Amino acid sequence: MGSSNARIKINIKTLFFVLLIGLIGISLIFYLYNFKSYKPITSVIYHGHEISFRDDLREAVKVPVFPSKNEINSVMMNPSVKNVTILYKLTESSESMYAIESFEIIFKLKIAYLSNNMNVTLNVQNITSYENLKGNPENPIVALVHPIYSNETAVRVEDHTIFIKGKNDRDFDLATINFLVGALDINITST
Amino acid sequence: MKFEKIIASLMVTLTTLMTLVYPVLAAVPTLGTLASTPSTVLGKPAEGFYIVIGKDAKAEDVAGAADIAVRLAELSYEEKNIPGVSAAVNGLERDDVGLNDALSVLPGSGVLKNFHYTGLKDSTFSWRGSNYDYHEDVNVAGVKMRHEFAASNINGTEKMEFQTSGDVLYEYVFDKALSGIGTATDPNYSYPVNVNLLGKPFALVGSSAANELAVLQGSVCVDDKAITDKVPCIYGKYYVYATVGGTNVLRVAVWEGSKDTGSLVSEGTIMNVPNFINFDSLGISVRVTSVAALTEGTVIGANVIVGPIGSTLHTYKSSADVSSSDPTVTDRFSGETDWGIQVSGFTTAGTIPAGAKIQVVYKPTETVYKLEGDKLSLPNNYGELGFEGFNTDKFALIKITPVTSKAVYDSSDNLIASGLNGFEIYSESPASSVGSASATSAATNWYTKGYLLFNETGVPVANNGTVMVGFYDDVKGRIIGTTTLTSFAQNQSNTVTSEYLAANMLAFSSNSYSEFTYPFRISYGGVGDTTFYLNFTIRSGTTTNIVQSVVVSDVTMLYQNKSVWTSANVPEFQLGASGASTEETEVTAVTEGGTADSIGKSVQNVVADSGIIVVSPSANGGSEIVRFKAPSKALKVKVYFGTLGSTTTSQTYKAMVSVTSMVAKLDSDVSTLEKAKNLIVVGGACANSVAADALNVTFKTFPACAAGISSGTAIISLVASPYNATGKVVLVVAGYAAENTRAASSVVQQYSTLLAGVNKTSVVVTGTTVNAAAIS
Repeated sequence: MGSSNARIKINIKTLFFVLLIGLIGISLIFYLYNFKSYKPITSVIYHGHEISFRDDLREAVKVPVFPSKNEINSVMMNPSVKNVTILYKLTESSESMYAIESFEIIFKLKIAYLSNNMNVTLNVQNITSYENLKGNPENPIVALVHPIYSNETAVRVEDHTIFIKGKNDRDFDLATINFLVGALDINITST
Repeated sequence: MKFEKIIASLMVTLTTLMTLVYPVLAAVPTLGTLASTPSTVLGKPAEGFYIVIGKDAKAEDVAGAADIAVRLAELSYEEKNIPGVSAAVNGLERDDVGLNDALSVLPGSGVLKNFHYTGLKDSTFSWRGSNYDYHEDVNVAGVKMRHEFAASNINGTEKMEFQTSGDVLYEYVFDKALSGIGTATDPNYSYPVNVNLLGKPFALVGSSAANELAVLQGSVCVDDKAITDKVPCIYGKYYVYATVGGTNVLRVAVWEGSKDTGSLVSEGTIMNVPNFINFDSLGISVRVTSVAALTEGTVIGANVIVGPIGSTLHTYKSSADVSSSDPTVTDRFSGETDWGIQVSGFTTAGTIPAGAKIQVVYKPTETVYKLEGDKLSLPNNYGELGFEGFNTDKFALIKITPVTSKAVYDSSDNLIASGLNGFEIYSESPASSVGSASATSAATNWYTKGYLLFNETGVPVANNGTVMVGFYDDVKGRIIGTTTLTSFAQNQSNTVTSEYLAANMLAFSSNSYSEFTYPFRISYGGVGDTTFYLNFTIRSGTTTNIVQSVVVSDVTMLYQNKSVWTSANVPEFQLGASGASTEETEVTAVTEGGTADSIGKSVQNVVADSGIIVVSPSANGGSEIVRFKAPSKALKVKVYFGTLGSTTTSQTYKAMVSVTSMVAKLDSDVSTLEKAKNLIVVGGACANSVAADALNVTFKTFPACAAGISSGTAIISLVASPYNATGKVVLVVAGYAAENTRAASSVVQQYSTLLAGVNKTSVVVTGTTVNAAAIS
């Protein structure tokens, strides 16, 4: 077999055309990503703070809230609030999701309270049952319901007690974020 | 939807690449310590970081994460201070008045006018259709600043003195002559000259050649304030109405309160107007100077003056009598007890010559002294003379103490000598310094402590090293001296030797070669600030009186031997003859010139003529200590005349601190992107893989994973990022057991009180609760 010495010739016009098409393509991607709602929203500006979340806020706001998002805000940001207790039922295996969600809730709620000149303490405790939980205007309760105890993904407000539930770890995350969206009165439009 | 995911994936990839590249380009900060952690992780995190929790976290880790969350959130706001605003002076303010100057040094030789303080008028008044110039001034030339120790009520404290003879005069000065006002014995009530004295109306009705001025005083209700049956003249609670009138006659009714709400308390008729009537039971007099009435008796207007009996027409003379409260005698200004009215320049009866003055003079019954921050207010709040304080609030606070058993090292940390006794000169105020004689700038040869120390090798003579000067090296934590002359002279190293001093300090000595003066420079801030010399003059040829003198500008401290200086013993020193007890003569100071005063038992601070302020000698002398303050510049007094605005006190408010990307992550979820950030790791290497990476131990496998952490303890450790993230750090909060992690997290939550002062990269926390936790 004889060797072949093939050459591809690209003239300058073709090269320019290819680069131009590439540039337009990248610009289009950039435009669509940033301005056409494809980009996940993971942070917002709240009272001058950039607050970051663990997941996309657009996805989080799809988690249903009962009775309403406003109810979360009225419970958590009521001027009479003095102490917030976060409760969770031990899983007897790993409590890492509780640690993650507790950090997220406490850190962001504390900023919200400081921003609104509210002197509110926050603490976390474990419990053996989610039954008969009842908060009051000064001491609302946030109950974290681990996926192993939940058959729904939702945020429910009852008797100054807010239940955050997820059917899996990601839903649990999203439910927590949507609780914070409600508490901090962040306006996000889902797509 | 598929298209959206493709786009999102592309952008995430691009973002990831950029984020990985960025840290390499970023500046490289140092690791720092826990105390400096605020600039990195725990304090004011200006850039993003992540908190990492082990996937196998326990309940204690949940609580630990909560503790740290609270801490970090609180750091998103910080207390900021709004400094108070000093009161602004409306008027004249000077800060160059000498410590015992009279205020004649003020502009205008102490006579202050409208252009010094606009509250003083320079205007005209009208009389019988013509305008007459006048001006107001305040003469404070007689007021004096004092600090004489020997004077009672001064006792060495800087004070503003007001003598009983009248050092402050408000003056209403007639700039244009006026004639036709009547005489003191035959006043002209028809055409009183109405002026406002310190803002209060006065009606002048006559003058005499003997410097007398007749004035209507009380409630002067004339002309547009003339009374009728409906319009009263009000004096205190009494309302005087004109009920009926005629030619040179007026009947008045005195009501307590107005006619609408009060009650009639007396009535009377004044005949042969101008004349007066006294209502003895009420203690008031009504003087009528003119009446305008219709023929049927209706009063159109009656000019009256209502006041205390015997005082509605008062003649003032050249000297105010404020000692009497009798209204017929006293010259007191209305409503005042220490201010009186006197006149000057009235030399022709019936006229007011140009330059004539009505003066309101301050004549307290005994000499008054105003301290710093005090003021003297003119009547009717017409202005105030205030003593604000000194021209500087920057003082070096110096403490001199006899010391024993001191060791001196050279600059290479070799011990030169130990067991030395002598004196310590300690600069207690943070900004101030003690310097060697060659200290010429803020950067070189200024120290917090200087020492003059004595060796046991014999009496001081030149070049034998028996007297040493040293300075405290804050970094090395020891007194540094050197035996080499050149290192000080050429390099300005940390200290000087006696040889150097002997050779170079004689310039400061006025005596023979047998006395050496060792000068220490005292300065508040070094460059630009005044330097004072604290001179220790040491004698040779004696073993018992080796301290000739210890002097700092007009202040002398009587330090002397407590023990004899021998070849076997270094001497100890004491203040005064008796050591522990306080003696009058152990400290002296020159105050207001002359012979120095013995101030050793003074309770309060004593200001010397030089501006050195000796701090409470009696409180310090018993401990052999002398404390004094050296001002940053030539000490002067700050005074003002006018009004002082209000002072706002400092306040605090919460200000937002920029915080970004604080998100919690499971160790199993921490991506390469996130590993390039600062991290806070909760949990030890047995439960958290990132902790294992940071501590460089095996993950999960016990006991290897617990290496470096003892049972019952936890660590809080700041380490460089194990992921080659340049300049990034990992703060590991890890316990041997979960409850230890919890306790350490609580310590982190109380960073400000428990960790902020720790200049280490790692601490061990023992215990399982924050209250019981011990930090080492």
